[in-house]
Amino acid sequence: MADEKRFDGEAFFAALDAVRIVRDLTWKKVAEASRVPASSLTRMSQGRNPDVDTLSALCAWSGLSADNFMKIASSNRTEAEPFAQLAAHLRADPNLSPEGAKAMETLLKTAYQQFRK
Amino acid sequence: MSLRYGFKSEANWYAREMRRELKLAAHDPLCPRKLAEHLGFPVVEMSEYAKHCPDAVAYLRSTKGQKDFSAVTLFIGAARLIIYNDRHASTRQAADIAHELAHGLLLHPPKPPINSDGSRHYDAALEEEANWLGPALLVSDEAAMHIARQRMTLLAASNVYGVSTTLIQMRMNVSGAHRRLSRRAA
Repeated sequence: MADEKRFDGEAFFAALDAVRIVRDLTWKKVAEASRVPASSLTRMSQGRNPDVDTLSALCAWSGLSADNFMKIASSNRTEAEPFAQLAAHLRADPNLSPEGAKAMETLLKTAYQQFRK
Repeated sequence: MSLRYGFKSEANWYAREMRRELKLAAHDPLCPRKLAEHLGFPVVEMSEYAKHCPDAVAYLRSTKGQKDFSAVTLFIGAARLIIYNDRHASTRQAADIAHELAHGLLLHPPKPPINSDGSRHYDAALEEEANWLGPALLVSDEAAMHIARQRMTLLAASNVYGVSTTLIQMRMNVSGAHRRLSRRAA
């Protein structure tokens, strides 16, 4: 049976980011130059694969080839990720109290566990 | 710390673009929850977790705890989840969610939420950008001009845009809407 190939959106987005950095551009400039909606870039940054038009436009702008981001789909790929690797943006008082830090850590851990279910 | 050159016009661009994508006029109110849906960010109120971690949620709902937590973007793999403190006023919630969406739109990289010493990680440059873009998303430059043109009171504008009078005042000040309008009339 032939191996199923899938587009690796995360790898493509990382490569796109590298092109952006090398060209010293903001994401706004990328959206404008490639004529891709800014929201599409935000969705891609969350691991969503682009639609054909978006992918085509971004390949044309960046010079990347979509073929290079096809990978063999693995059915036993593990998604496990330790809580220690979680990252987040927080908006709160910069002088977070010890009780606040503890409560937030508990909240984030709970949210993480619930999301993974 | 000052915003990078060109950032303020970039923020106006995002506010216009998001309205355009949502088929809104450039001066229309923007619902942050609808924008979150458009951008693919699940938004969850903190109280949803009360049955799983009652003590933590109770603390963050308390007067003291409210100061510690407004909203957070949780990165889980590539996915992102926005959790906000629903104990705050609805106008504050709108600002908090918009702030997190600003981080998302600007594709700010994730940072560890809590440092090893228990203090909160805080990137001043990224926070400043989100502090500017969040309110600009809610009250765009065009919205500020609309408020000035319609001679809306702060309270009326606050009701129309679903944000606090403080946020309206801030956006009116930084956009120079009244000054621009009177210059045009002169």
